[in-house]
Amino acid sequence: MRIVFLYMGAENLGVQYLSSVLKKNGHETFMVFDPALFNDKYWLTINSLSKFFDQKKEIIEKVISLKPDLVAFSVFTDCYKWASFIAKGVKQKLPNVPTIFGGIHPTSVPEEVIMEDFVDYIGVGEGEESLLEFVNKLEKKEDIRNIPGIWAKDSSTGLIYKNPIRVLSDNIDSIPYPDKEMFNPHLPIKNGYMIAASRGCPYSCTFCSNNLYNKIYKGNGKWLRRRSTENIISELKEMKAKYNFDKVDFVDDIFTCHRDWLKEFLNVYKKEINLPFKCITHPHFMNDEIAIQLKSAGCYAVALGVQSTNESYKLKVLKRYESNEKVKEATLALKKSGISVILQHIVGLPDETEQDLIEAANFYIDLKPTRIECYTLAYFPATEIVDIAMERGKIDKNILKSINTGGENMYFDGGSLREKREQKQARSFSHLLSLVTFLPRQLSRFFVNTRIWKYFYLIPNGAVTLAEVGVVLVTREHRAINYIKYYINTSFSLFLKMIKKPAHMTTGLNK
Amino acid sequence: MEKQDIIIKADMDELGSISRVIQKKGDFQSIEQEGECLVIIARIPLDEFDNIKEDLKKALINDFSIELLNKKN
Repeated sequence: MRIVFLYMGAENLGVQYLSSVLKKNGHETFMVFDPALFNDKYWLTINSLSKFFDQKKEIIEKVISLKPDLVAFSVFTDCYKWASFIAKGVKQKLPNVPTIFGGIHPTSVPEEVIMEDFVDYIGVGEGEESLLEFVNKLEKKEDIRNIPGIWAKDSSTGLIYKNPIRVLSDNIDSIPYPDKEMFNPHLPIKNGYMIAASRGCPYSCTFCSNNLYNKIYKGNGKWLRRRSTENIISELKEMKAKYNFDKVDFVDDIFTCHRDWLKEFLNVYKKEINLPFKCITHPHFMNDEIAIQLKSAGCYAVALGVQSTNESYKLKVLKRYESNEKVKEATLALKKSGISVILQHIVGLPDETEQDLIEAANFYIDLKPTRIECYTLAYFPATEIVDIAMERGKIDKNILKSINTGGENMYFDGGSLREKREQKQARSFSHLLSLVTFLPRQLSRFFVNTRIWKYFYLIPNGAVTLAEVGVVLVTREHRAINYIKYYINTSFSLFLKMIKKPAHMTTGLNK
Repeated sequence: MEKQDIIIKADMDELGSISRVIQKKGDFQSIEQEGECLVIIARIPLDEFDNIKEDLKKALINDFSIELLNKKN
């Protein structure tokens, strides 16, 4: 069968795995990628520019031209509106071609997504085995109404078949290596290789989708799984030979959460791969010993979630259990070993006070990490923080509906804050955190103590972006540098296409 | 300081309470899932085993087990 996948803005490992499983079983897969410049939900949102570079109509044309047997969307909440627009357009032109929505958004609110006219099926939970069974049966024209992990809508009767979630497989080594070729024409793999050594996270932070996955997979198999060293190294070797990338990006939720495995893995990685890499971890799993091991194996940057520095608040509202002391120890261990430290913070939390922000700013000024990624809280469907916000009167039913249909702004774009005062405060704080990493401590403290920081919302976003670009260049953060290059190249090539052809004649990027 | 590894097996929902106890005196070594349980290995000072066991008894709602693994320098 010919399966057309769609995605926007960034590389997606989940889609790559789905494609590889289908290809291995004899199906043809295609990727129609929308660069969604300046509205990519990840790096940059500039509305005026995003309208200029909008490619949605061309994306629909491209899907139609591929003559698909199935159109598959991997949907995060932030791209649900985009996916809906494209699916509607495709359905108008190809009413008999089924559409399937999978990913975290349909998994979170399946009841709502399956009701949409442009959605025929949804994938709930991890998709490799479910999608393969679905596609195989679809091809053979067998009954596809009772596949675990797939909800089906009978278009003639309107009946919905809500099948149970598929029990997870323990052995993730058996999944074929991700199909990197899907994204390679758009986001060249040679610039950096995205890989996951594990799946799942033991924590249940209230704002994170793992909070939901931990609940739905309770009693349905092992959620926390790790690949063997041999399997990961073999993938990296094979892909390095193919794409000749020069850096590796481990996207595991907690890369260092098993010290014996980590020690063994890093030794082999250094011998066999020996490329600079970046990873994400939790402050509980970082100390001097781990930092030294990481550095010695080639680690150049580590991202750590902090989210709030009010310990009692983060415990109660966010279910984050690490103390500030642990965050400090972890950051200092990394700095001492010469690894760049990226701390992640959430602003705009329900009932957060100005004092909380000031204390957080002082904490970061003391620590001075390499960079602070400050996200405005975006509520994701079915996460616990949505219930907390409703209990506290921060969210009403209308806002809940907007959350469940992807109508909220995302974390780089104002998040779920509605009051102007809150938006200004969040923007000021975010700008402050962007600056404290490279300003002298005394100057940062001056801004905080005199409350000048409260007026930082007046600084144009462009100026702060430029400052951040400067930090990225100085710290040589490859992923961000590649995105800057990608933005420049893609904007330029799209601009050239637009001035050469009338808009309705363009065919999109995916050729 | 002489340290020892301990192994704790507990319900997955208890990770928060375990974290709060362990982080005061020790370090996490690993977290794995075994069926519906979390298996946590932590490194703690040699003389803290009984105190940590007592703290966990107070903090955890569900049944759990804690055992000594081995000494580390």
